Amino acid sequence: MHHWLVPVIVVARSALLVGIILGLVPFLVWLERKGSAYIQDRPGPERASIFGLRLAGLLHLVADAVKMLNKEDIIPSGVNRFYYLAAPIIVVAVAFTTVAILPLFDTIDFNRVGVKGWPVIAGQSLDIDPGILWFFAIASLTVYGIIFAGWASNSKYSLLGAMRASAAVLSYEIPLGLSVIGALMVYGTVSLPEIVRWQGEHVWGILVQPLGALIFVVCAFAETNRVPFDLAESESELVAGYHTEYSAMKFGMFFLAEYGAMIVSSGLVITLFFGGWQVPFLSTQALVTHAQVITQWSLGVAFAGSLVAVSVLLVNFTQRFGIWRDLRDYEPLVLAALVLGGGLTALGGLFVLMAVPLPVWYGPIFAAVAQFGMFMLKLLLVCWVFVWVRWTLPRFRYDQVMNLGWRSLLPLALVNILLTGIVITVFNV
Amino acid sequence: MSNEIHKAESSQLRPFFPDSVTPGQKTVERDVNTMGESVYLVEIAKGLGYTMGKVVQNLIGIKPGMTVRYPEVAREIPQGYRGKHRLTTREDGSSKCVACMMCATACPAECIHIIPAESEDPDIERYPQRFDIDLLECVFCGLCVEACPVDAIRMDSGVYSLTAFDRESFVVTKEELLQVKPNPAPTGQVV
Repeated sequence: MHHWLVPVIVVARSALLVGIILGLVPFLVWLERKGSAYIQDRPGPERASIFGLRLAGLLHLVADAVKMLNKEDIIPSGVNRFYYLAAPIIVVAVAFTTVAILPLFDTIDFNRVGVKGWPVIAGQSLDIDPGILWFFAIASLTVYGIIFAGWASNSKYSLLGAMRASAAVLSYEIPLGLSVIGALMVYGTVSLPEIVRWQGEHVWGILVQPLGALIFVVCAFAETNRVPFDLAESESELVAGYHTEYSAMKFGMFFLAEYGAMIVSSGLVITLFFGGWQVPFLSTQALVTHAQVITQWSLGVAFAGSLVAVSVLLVNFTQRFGIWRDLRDYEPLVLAALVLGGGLTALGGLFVLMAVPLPVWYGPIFAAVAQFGMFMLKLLLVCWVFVWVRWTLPRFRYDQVMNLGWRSLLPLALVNILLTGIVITVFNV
Repeated sequence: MSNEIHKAESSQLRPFFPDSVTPGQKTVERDVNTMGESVYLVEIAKGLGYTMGKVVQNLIGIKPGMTVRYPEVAREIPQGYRGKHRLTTREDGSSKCVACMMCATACPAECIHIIPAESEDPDIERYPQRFDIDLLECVFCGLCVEACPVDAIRMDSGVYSLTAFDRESFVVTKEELLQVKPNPAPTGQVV
């Protein structure tokens, strides 16, 4: 018996997932640009503004998007049109499809608080039995997009980049898959929500599978073709690799897919090894039961945090006033006013909550929101590690990449499976 | 069998004899990765620590960055900076140039175009009827300044921001070059 709200929920949840990718990609680009700038002692993007609001350079992304959509879209002569046009669609489709399996929060079940007849909402778009195997199956299809792009472009740089990319992705898929097997043996399931629940009941996966987690993270870097495994688009040798011949939004789609793959990889890393949506020390039941108290505490913390932020902004205003000689000089004041407004609203909400108890259905919804927030926080932290590593390490040579994959990570993954098996058998856990 | 042949060849081809180090010859140790370095992880952790330190440093703003916020703030021009050319004048305001073509001859980019004319002043033989410099061709080497026998051309204006919307605007005439002022001192002002 389906509740009438179920179709609405399904659509909303899918929109949330697509929104995560579309919303996070510009943010990650900003993180990448600003992070690299700070690592290299530069100020990074900070100039673009609307009415004096710069938002630490976030508005550069608006300018970037407008530029990308308005640029001339060139299809070079001599390309194989069908495959040339199919390639960006494939990589974007893969990125958007794989994200569907990430569990964003625990199942919202109103029966926990005794409300009957409301729908049970699962925390992921695609709750299917294969679980993580679905990810491996779909993610491998990216290689087709890359090979199509490289071959159809009719350019030797693109072809070389595509060959390298597919070789790297195929080589690292094996240790990637094998590194998860040890974890799956411990969890005893391939279903991602179950894996997260296991970690909530016991410990985070990183503690029981440190070696597996390490191999998985390294392989995830290689799968997303990012530094130190970005030999596919090593700009010093191959211009830009397989997307050399793409311009305007078709290039933008490759860009989107690259960051989409990064988001999905980070999501998998936290789901498998860092507790997924688990809020540390707070089970779903605890979140539901103590929803009111935790809300009050978070409102209080938000108010205190807003005061700190306001003082930082005011110090910033006094120190840096006069740099721009236009409206941008007043930005910290405007932001401080907004933050203070938000903080006071939180304080007001805290006083209201002290007097008025929240309805009983608030608990499950609050738990889901808190878990989703925790998921996004962990996701951003892992994404930051991706950025951080990219701007720290140099690129591996092609043969080094292959050696590392086949001679180090593959045997290590096998040893990990063996050790896990021995421990499980001997200690009978 | 083929293996043996290969071995024999490689030993014959080996050019380096370790015993025959000549006096004064320096032996350089090869930089081979140690065990710890070839595991990568420790070295990566060190590198990550360093870059994170940089991020924290720049986030808090302990050290002012070395970035100059051009165009709001312009960098100071050092002494002897070669900027846009200018033609120096005599007391009556006319150009000192005698159209001897030394600068145009010295110019490696061939960007100076002079049309000489006969002067009415009996003390001066020639003057430039036209004196054009194509700033897009100019490489700002300063050889014209060195070549000039009468100190008529200098590059001490301090003007480095040369912008226009079309190529024609970059060909500056004698009249324009006479208008360019010398840079009084290296300044931090927008020019």
